[in-house]
Amino acid sequence: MKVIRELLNKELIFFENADNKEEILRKMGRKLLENGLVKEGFIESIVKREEKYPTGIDLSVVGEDLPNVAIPHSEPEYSNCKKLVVVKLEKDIKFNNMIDPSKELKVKYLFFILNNEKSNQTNILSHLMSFLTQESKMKGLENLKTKDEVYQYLISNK
Amino acid sequence: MIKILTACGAGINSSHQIKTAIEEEMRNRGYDVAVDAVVIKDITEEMLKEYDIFAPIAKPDFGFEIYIPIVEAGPILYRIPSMSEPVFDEMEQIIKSINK
Repeated sequence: MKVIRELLNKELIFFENADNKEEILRKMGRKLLENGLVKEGFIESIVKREEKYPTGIDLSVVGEDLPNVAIPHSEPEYSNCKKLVVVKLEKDIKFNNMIDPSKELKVKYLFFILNNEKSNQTNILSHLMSFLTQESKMKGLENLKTKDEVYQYLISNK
Repeated sequence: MIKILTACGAGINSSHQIKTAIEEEMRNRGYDVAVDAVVIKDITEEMLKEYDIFAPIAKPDFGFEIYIPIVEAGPILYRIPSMSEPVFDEMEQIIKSINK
């Protein structure tokens, strides 16, 4: 997809392991900070936001046995760029459901949305959603073994 | 004119997407609506009094009572009919009951 292709870099695909959501958010936050993609304060912002306004997305409504995802993001002032960061988790981590925060979901993929623009034109979410809500696309993602395969898959998908 | 307020947590403008979707669908169904999108933390009790319907992504806990009808609009973000239709139907029912 064109928009995803513009937002994604090969080095922004990660395979990670963590025990809980705070641990993975802090771990990824540190990496993004080291790469200069985000500003000081990003980590605290993203951890706090996930507590208050969770970002887990339940894909069981799209298809049976699909992995769930989360789309952590922060306020635009903590980001230096407009990028998508994709994390495949070695084992599922519990996140709360964005549209029903009292419910927990087991999440396998994280799509961090880094956005430094306050304008209303930011429609990264809608492009991402149109990918996530196609059962065949998410199933295809599940079959990939390497970060390079994931990258090629995401940028070549129409 | 039915005034609707939607809200999200800021960062990726999800409330703006909800605003656009509600306006389009409700106009298609023949209703005169105006939707404002704001950041959840900016909402006050006073502000809500200006609206007929509150349509946040998910029901927030403000620490004050909300006296207008609430429609949880998050499912619209999936952009698939099986998720969004029930939200629009609920909203249409409320609009009819407001009978402005």
